[in-house]
Amino acid sequence: MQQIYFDPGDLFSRYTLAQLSDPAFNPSQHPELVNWAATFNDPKYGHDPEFMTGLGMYKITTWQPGQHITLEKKTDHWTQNSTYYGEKSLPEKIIFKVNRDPNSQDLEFKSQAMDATGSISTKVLINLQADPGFNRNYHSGFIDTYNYSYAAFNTRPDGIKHKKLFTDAAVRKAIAMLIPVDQIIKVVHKGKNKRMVGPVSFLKPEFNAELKEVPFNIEEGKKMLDKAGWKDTDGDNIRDKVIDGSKVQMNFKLNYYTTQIEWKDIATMMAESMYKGGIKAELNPMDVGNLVLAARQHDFDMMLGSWASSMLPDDFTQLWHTSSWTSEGSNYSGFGNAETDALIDSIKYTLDDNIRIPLVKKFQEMVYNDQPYIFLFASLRRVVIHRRFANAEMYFERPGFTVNNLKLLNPGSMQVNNATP
Amino acid sequence: MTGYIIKRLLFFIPTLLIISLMAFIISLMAPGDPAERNVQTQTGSGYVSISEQRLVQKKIWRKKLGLDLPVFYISIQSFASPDTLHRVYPEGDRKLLERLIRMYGNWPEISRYFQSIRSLETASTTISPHAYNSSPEKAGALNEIKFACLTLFSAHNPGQVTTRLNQLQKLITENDFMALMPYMNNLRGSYNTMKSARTVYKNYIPSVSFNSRNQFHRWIFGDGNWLTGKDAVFSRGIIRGDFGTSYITGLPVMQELVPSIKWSLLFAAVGIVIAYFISIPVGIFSAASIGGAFDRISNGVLLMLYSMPVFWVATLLLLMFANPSVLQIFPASGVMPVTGYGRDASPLQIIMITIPYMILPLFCMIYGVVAYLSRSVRISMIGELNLDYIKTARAKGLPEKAVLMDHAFKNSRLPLITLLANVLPMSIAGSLIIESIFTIPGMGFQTLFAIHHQNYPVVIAIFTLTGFMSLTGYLLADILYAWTDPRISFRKAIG
Repeated sequence: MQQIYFDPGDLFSRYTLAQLSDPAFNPSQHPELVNWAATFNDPKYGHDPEFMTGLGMYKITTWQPGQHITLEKKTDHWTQNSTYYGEKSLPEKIIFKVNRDPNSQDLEFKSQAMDATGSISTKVLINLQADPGFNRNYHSGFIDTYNYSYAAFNTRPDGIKHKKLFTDAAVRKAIAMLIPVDQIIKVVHKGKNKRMVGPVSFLKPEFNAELKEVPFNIEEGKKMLDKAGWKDTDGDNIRDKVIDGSKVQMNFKLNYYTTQIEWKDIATMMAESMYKGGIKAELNPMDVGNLVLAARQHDFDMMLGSWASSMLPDDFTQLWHTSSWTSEGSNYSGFGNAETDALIDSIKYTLDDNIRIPLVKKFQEMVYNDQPYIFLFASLRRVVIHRRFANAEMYFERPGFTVNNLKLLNPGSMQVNNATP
Repeated sequence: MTGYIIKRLLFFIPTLLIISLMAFIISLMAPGDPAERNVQTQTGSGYVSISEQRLVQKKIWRKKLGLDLPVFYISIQSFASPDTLHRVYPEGDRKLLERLIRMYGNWPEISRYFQSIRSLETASTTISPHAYNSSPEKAGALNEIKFACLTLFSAHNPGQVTTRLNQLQKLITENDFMALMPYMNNLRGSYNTMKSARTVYKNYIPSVSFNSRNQFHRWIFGDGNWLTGKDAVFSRGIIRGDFGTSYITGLPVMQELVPSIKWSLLFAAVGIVIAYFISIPVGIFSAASIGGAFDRISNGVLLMLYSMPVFWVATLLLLMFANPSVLQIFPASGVMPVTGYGRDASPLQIIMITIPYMILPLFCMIYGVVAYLSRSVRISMIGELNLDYIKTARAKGLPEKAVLMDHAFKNSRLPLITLLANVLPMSIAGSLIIESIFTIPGMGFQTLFAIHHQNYPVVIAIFTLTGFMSLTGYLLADILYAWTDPRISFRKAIG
């Protein structure tokens, strides 16, 4: 953000960074800073088009809550005369329209009331692609992403609130064999997602192709659980084991987000399949904030989640370093030891791909062998772009296409159309 | 009538108090930490990377939201509990302290034990794991120490605590963390003292305190002057329409709701007017021609309409009338063109542009009401038409139209008033299914979205406002009943 917007009174030229970061610095003794903070945090800067000014090529001109947001090209932006492809802003106006109903989305694409989207459901796009009229008018596709979903184990529970169910890697591998990942992809996502085997996307050169998908094999999973000492000794169809002197049942809560019905479907399919192997998972829907908070505090047994990544080389510190476990960071499952920490640190500071890539492959192998997550699938983005536009390329990165690069092929005859966010 | 209205208004006060108390209790019982949710909203990403920073921010939000205050005017607790226990944060820490108080009853020793865990945890975090790069085992052990400290904050069972303390002792000794030794000794010592110097009897002595500043008072009246609202800093209270801020947008709740209320009110009001225009003549004519062709056909059609689920009808209408493959007469979603109405559009032009967007949702909203209302008017009219005064009117030679409209219908209007009373709460509650299907930014969708995202300030505001509007609607209905039908006596209603 430019200073003329966030600090028009040049307040911060009166303070040094050292002053502001000094723990002894008390902002309440500086009323001008308190006033500035109150103004800066005012919600109008996030909701009122008049006060929303960013560095980008477009400016929000109207915002009808729950209806649409209109962006118009700035007339004095520094990229205006740029010849670089990535800096071009071709549409004069972009309208992001809200449409929440799948049937209505289907109709709006059939009637060409929408120009593009990167966020319709798999089912809607499959239906649309069955219509020759739609295919005549639109480019569309299921595009790979760097995002993946997983089921995380709490591998280092406190043993008090959460029992030591998944501390043994052999148990985690056995449970992974009980999960019908292919079936989940087929049923829940109409076969449109792709399996993951580790924390690195198969789109990247660092991907370790030698790691094989964990097969769905209930009988083999049962044998492994038996071998690990988890047996049904009391005939209630739930396995148990004596841990630290007391009998513990393989019965736990499976946390998942309430945001989308698909999470519930996945959790249900997992729970049903695990039950066949003598494991009882109770479904525990949670909102995002509470689920993430519980995960950071290691207050869970098993949870579903997803990570969004990008084409950039991965830094595994946030998700896999033990420091991210003890500091209530994103290493929810408690993966890691001194060896993996050292490897993560080395990967972070190694620039030479000839050295870095083998290290990343080695790291994937270590994660795979430890199985702190059951790696489920990489989601595919559903992208639709009207054929009236040139530059209709689809990308792995969000939102799947570059709105500002879309170019009307015949501007004179075109009506104004919309994009869904 | 004035006396009656005043008396009814006075009845409002305890009812409103009960509604607000219920809403407050729901807000207290709602899962999750409001401070955490607000921190997530402000940071945008839902995640603040450093836990200490997050804790500081959450404490600021607790103060802003008044969560550091006692819950109600009166607190009843045990003599063993300190009167400031409600201020302890995070909630997990407070729960541990409550459990320890119940087990040992000696607050000063409990507090000392708790602080000694905190001291060891802080001391362990001051040692950088990078200092042990040459010894991965020590770096790992340091992580285990930190985690063991974390788990002590949720452990109260003596066996579990002792196991943890032994584990800590072993990790510190075996890995030669001499800097942590004094903290470890202090922790073990304070735990032993807490156990040996227990005063459990204090838990059985009640302690009652009165809190003039409390969460309920603040929620109702704000944090300024309770009467004028002057000097309010973070909240002006729901009495002045301040329901707090939305977890999702960070906007004041009422600012977020007002545009949605406008749309729902528009649809509810227009829908009810149309429903009246259709159902009254249908009901009257049906009653007048009882057993005739019109009566039988209208009965069948209305029964069918009444039986059809709204989500099915809405989807069917979309697929029929907003579908380029069938008939594309109406837009498939929204309430206005995405290009706006045009800068110079007159009010009439705006109405004409908006009408196509309203027809399908309005039909879905009113067909059930029309069916219900027509049947009610019909039944009510049939009852009236069989009474002696109607026979007398007919015997006097009055035209049938006058008999129906001036006599029978006049006394059959009560169901219409009852429905009218529902317009106000409907404007707040909206129509959840229809608004979702047609992408109408009304209260139904707001409610669904707020519940779905556990946006409790908005949910509580909708709950409270719906209760308030229902009460207002019932008052209006009572007045209209009395005004319409002189047989309903104010005196009798009061007495």
